[in-house]
Amino acid sequence: MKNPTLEIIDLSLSFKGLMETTRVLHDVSLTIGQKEKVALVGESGSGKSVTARLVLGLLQAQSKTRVSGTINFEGRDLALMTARERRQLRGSRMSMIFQDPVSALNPVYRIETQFHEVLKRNRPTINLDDARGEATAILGDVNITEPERVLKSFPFQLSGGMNQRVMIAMGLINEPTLLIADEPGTALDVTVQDQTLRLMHDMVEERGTSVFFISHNLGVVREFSDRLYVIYQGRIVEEGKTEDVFANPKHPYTRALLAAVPSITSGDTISDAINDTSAFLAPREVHWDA
Amino acid sequence: MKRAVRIIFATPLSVIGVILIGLVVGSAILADFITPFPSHRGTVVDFDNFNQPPDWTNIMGTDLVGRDLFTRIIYAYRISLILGIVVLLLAVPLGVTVGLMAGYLGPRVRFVLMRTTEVFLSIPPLVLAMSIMGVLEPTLINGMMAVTVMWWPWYSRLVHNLTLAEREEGYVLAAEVIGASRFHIMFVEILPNCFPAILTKMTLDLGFVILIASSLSFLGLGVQPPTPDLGSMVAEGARYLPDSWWLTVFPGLAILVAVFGFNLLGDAMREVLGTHQ
Repeated sequence: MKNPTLEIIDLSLSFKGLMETTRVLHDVSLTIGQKEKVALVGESGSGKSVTARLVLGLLQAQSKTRVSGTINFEGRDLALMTARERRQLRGSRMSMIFQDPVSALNPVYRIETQFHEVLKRNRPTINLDDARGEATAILGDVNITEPERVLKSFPFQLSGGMNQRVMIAMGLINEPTLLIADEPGTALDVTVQDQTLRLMHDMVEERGTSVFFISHNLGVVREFSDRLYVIYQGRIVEEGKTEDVFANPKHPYTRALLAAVPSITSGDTISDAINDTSAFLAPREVHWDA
Repeated sequence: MKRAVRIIFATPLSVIGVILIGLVVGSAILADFITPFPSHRGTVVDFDNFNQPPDWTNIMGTDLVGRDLFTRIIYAYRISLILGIVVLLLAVPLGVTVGLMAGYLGPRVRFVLMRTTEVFLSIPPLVLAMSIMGVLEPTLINGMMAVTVMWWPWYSRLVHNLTLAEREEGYVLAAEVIGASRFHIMFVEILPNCFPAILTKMTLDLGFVILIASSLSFLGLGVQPPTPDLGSMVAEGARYLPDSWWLTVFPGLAILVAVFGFNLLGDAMREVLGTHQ
């Protein structure tokens, strides 16, 4: 691939414990090309989020970790950058969207102040009025109908879906080349999650942003990503174009993952599927105090 | 604000707290106008009226040199409040900064700062203040210093614990992601989220600082005569119990009112700000 946005080569990570060292990532390699949406799929504890944190350089704060391998961002080795350069990179060229949008916004500041803060990363001299203008524009893009009211609100005054859209807007306002989405919207209910993901999809398409999408939800990944990597116990076990992997999974783990996705196409009619589900949802005796 | 007023007036104890503190603070500010003998806060001798029980002129009686006790108690409130506020203004920023750094800057910084804090916390506060005052000259300024030295560790511990919880919040990670500096994250992102707990503790503490300062001056280590002070007034009168009971009872009650009032107010703050611990 020519000039990839992000290139991870043989990344390994271990945590040193008291008695033994636990290896969390084993020679993980992956590439994200320009304007490409790449998903990293795996179960909890497989090493997805830790990979994202390494890319962002947020893991160094903790001691007792050993990292090897290379992470190249736009052709530059992140390990060779100074802490200051990396800080500058984050928030301007790289940005991130989180699982829980409500907690990702500081409850004591209005949305407009937080937009201002984000914009200051790129342009330290920008004033609040200009920031407000740009924020209003991008909030329009994420289908927020009353941007002025939202900007004046505190995060806890908005719904989860609104907060998530605000997060998407904030993540993209500095026109980053890479957006890292760590299970975005998992904390939201499914319909809202679906809406915001579609929105995010359109936004990054429009802007040509590369996306590193981390998820355990195969349904979401199938809709969202161009290519995917399957990670299992810290190893990449399968990679390929999303449709190819879904059509023809090679690794047994991927097959097991795909088999775990509930499907309504296996039955002949929709009513069959509903019957299946209703058996599953049949009232059971529930022990609340258990 | 409306909500705050409603919550306060929903519980009678909070109302009492607000009234008591209103009286204490109000009288201390307006001391020059409401006390019958403002000059009695200093060195005035009136041997015709010394050691008189309460009557209509001197509603709390007079002290051993004939000064009006009520006047002196109100002026003593003024000194106590100034002392309490100055102590908190010095101790809280210091303790908060140490707590934020210990909570956010990683295990090594935490080790150094919190172990230091614990050393201070392990010495009984009054003993620490007494030993400091034993070395220094007993003046108002030194008294404030002594109380400050024993007070900041409580704040560093409180804020340290709060920071440990807050740093796991998404917005701290989000700030790290956008490349905010550590200073920014500590003071702009985390600190405002700790304010409710800090403010509640400050209100409660104002009462305790007054109590400790009174204890020091009761032992002769705080504010020196002729400056009126509740602690030294109690100490002076204690020798003439039970005959001249007003010399001890009224300053003692005055301490009680202030400490009790600030405690009730602190509880009310806790209700309003929602900081149950």
